Amino acid sequence: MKLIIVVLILLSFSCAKKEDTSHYLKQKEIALVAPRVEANSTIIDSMVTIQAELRLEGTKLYYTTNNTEPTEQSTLYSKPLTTKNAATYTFKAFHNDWKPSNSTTLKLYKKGIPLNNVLWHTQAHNSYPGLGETTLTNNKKASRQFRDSQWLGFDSIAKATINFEKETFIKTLIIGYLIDTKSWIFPPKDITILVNKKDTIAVTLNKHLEIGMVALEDVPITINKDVKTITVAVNNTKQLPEWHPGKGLKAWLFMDEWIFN
Amino acid sequence: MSRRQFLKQSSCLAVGLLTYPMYGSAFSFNDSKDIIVGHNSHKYKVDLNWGNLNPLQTPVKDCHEMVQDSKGRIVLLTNHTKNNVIIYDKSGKLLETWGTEYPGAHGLTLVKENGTDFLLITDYERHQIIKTTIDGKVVFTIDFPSETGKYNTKGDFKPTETTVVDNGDIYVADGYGKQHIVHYNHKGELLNIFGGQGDTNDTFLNAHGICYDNRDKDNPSLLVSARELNQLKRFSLAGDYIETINVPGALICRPVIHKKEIYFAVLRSKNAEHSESGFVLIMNENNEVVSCPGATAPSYKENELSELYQTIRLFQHPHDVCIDDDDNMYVAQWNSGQTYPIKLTRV
Repeated sequence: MKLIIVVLILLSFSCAKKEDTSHYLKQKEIALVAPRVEANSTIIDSMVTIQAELRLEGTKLYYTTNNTEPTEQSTLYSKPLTTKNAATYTFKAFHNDWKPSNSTTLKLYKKGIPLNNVLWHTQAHNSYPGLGETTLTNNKKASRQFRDSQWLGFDSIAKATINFEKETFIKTLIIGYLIDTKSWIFPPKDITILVNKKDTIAVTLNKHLEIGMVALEDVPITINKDVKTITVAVNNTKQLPEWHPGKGLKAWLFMDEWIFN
Repeated sequence: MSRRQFLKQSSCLAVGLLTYPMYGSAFSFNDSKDIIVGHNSHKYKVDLNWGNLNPLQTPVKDCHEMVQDSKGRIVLLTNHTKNNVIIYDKSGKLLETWGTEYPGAHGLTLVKENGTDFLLITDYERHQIIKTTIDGKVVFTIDFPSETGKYNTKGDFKPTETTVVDNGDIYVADGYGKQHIVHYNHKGELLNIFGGQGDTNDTFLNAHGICYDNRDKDNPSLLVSARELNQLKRFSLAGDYIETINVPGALICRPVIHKKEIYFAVLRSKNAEHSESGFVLIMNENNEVVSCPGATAPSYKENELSELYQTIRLFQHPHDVCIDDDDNMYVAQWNSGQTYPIKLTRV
């Protein structure tokens, strides 16, 4: 009996020792990739369908709609979502073997007032003409790929005047833009808006940026006026920062939709 | 799980339960299990510490390619000119280093001639292919193929890979240059040129890698990766196009044949939102993807492979794989923060 116990102890020690000395990658040492999230449109006309996935067995996706980071107590994603409402959807992946992913955010916008009379004072760069002058007002948002034809790329100021058929109350203007620092695409430096040729609204952006950052962003600007004509001037970043390989040189400005609500 | 594995785990569990109170205070279980990556027939444990060296003494820049030599040693090519070639044993112990003159060291091919190992290095900054002995003595160099009329200057030629066929002929992929495949005899004399830039059947966008496929002894051929197209293309040894194998979503580097399978480092996932989105891909002898360590499980719908993409952030930019005589794999990475290769141990 004593011999059996000794053997059992030795065997057990050998099992435990193997676990302790294993130099292989263990659970929760590496993170999941952020979920892929797509919608058939991010500007809501009628109904929008949102699909999320991370095709790895055992992965669970959770999401929020209140701008908070999802946890495993958030809503579990089990099938495509449909909605008619503007909102921000944030998804995150969880798995027993891997650290949780970064989150993926999808913003749905309410469709803006139709714009029929847009007069451009500057032109997009020849290399990034988008779909022409209606690119910013065609109710289609661009993807994170800067070569997406929904992007208009400028290497200086982007300036246009919008004339409304009749005086219209504008609460906000949302300007969508791309950040892709490796591709020298930075946020606008500042935006100046002239309402009805007399009232000026100036906005300066001071966005925190990181090396390799890629993001779809927007800047909402409060107007709260009856508007007949409005001129929007968006300035690019004139000097790339110290940490960037192109420091001191000008940055690209990539914009997609201008949404007036 | 095999019966053997099941029994082993069960016995450990039973013994552990019986004896745990007796030594539990002195020894503790690490209750976190080893992770397994990959799918179907090709699954691996991951060793992130394999081959780590003192970066002050033996630094790496990009780890571009690896091969196993006839002595079983693992030979790594980096573009760090302090030590372009780093030779390890299979455990990751450093054996020797050499090479200081290959700033664009990219492709590494082992050539066996009458029982002697040689290496072919492609250097896209020197615009040359260099044949060396296994310990680094230069045998000959091949310059840009001016006589073809396809190249105006030396700088147009940026070779990324070589492969050597049974008679010693050398094929060079000009993957960062004009996308031709250049065919030489064993002395480095020009025989043929084909391919070129484009997205038609017999052209390439980033002809990054090439390998000799003699698994079918009666029909040997060449496999060329067209990385930006997410395609693997097969050609005859005379340079005639044969077929295309699509790998949607996978920017495949060179094909590496080991036994019946083809292995690839995948630099990036095509539609990933971050660049560091690579993984490893394995095809069986029917050119079907069977395993993708670090990525989605391969699945086919009506004979079409679904898009593959990275699912775990294990790899950054895998650039080459080397499979050793134990079927274990070494993954060399480009632009990964000057890290040493990762070893995947087959389970």
